[in-house]
Amino acid sequence: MGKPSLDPALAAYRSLIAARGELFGTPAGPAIEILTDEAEISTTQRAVQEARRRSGLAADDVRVGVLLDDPYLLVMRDAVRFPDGALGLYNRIVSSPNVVILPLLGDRVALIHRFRHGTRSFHYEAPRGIASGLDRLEDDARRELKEEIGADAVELIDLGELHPYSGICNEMMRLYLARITGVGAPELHEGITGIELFSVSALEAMIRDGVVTDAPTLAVTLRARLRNLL
Amino acid sequence: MAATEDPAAAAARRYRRLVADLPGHFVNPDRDGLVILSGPEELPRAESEIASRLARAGRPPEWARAGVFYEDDWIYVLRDVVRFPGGSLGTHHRIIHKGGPEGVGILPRFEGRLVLLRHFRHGLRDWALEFPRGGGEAGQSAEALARGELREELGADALSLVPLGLLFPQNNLMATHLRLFFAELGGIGAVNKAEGIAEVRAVTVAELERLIDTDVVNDAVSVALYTRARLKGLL
Repeated sequence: MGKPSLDPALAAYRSLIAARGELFGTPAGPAIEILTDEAEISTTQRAVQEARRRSGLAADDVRVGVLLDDPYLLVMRDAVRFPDGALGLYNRIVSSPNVVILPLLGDRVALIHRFRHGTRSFHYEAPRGIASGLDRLEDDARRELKEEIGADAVELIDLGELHPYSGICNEMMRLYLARITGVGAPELHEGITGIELFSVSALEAMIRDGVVTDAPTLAVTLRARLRNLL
Repeated sequence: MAATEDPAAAAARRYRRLVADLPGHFVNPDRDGLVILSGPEELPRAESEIASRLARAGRPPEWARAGVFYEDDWIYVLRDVVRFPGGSLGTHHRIIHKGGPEGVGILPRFEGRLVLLRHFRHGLRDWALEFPRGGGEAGQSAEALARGELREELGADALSLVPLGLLFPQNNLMATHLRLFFAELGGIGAVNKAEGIAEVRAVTVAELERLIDTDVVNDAVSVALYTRARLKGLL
C-alpha cells in the first residue's frame, strides 16, 4: 500500500477538500457518500484491492485523491460508500463551466461546422466555450460569439443550465439565445471550418434526422422553442 | 501500488503503451482538425516547445506532457499534445471508454406517462431527475443494452423500442455517444437503490416540458431524448 501520508495524490486531495469543500458534500437521501477520513480511505482501498485480486483484476493502482490537475481539468478518485453499504472507488472529473449560445440572425440560426478533439471528427453545433467564472457568464457568451462567428449580441437571453455528463463530470453549461445582426469569418485556429445559416425548420429537421448530434445544441434549441423564442 | 514511480513519468509511460496498444485512437483523419502528435520524434519535440512556453509564463512545465493520468475498469483520462489548425502547439484532454464508445439513453413511457428516475450523480454530488441511460459493453447490441438498462435501473421490460438516433453528450472531451430509444413499458418494478436511484417519477408531456423549461431537468441526454421524440412526432 505504500505510505498514504506521503502519497502526492492524497496530499493534493487534502488541500482540495480544504479549499473547495463544496465538491465533497453529500445531500440528504440514499446518496453515495464520500469518505475523507484517513482510516476509512485505507479500509476502502484494502477492500477494493482484495476484491479485485479475488476477481483476477489488476489491483496495483488504488490511489485515492487528485490524479490530474492542470488549468483545463481536475481528475480525482474518491473512496465512497454506496447506499447499500458497499465500499468502492469512484472517479470524478471537475471542469470549468461552459457557455453555449444559439445565435439568431433574423429568423435563421447560425451553426458552426467544427472539429472536436473528443470525437476526432466534425460536427454542426452552436458556438460554445469555457467560461472564465460563474459571475461572468454573459461576458463570456458575448466573447465566444465574437471569437467564433464574429458576431455581436444585441440581446442575450438566459436559457438555464445543462449538465452534459453528470455520471462522472460536474461540468455545467449555461445556455443562451443571442440575437445577432451579422456573422464574420470562421475561427480556423479553433478547428471551425464554416459558419452556416439555417431556418428553424431546417435545424429541427437536422436534429430529428440525426445530422445534428451535439447534445448542447439539441438542448439550447428545445429550451428556446419551449419559451417561444424561435 | 506504484508508489515509487514519479506520477508524471508513470503517466507518460502509460501513454506510450496506449498509443502502441490502441493506435486507432491516435489517428489524424483530417488536416483541418487538431492533429495528435504521438510519434517518437514529434512528441518530445512538441512537448519541449510547449514546456518552454509554460516556463516563460511561470507555469509548471509538466503540463506540456502527454500522459494517461487516470485509468479504471471503465475509462482512461489522457492529455494529448496537438497541433491546432493554425499551426500552434498545445494540449487537449480526452476520455476514452474501455467498453467502446457506444452507450444508450432511453425515454420510457408507461400507461401514457414518461418515466423519470431520481438518480444520485457522483459527478454533480447531487440528485438529478433523468431518463435511464447506461454505458456500453463490447459485443452487445444497442437494443439489448437498452433492454438491460431498463431492467437493471427500474425493473421494467420494454414492449417496444423505437430508435431516436445518435447523441454526443460532450464531443470536446470524448468520442462516447449514445444510441437513443423511445420505449413503451409493460410495467415498472423496483428501482436499483444500490446504484443511487431513489425513486421513479412518471410525468405527463406538459409536466416534462415545464421541468425542462424551469431547469429542474437539466441533464443533456434527457433533454435530447425528449427533443428527438417530439420532433419525430412520437409524443
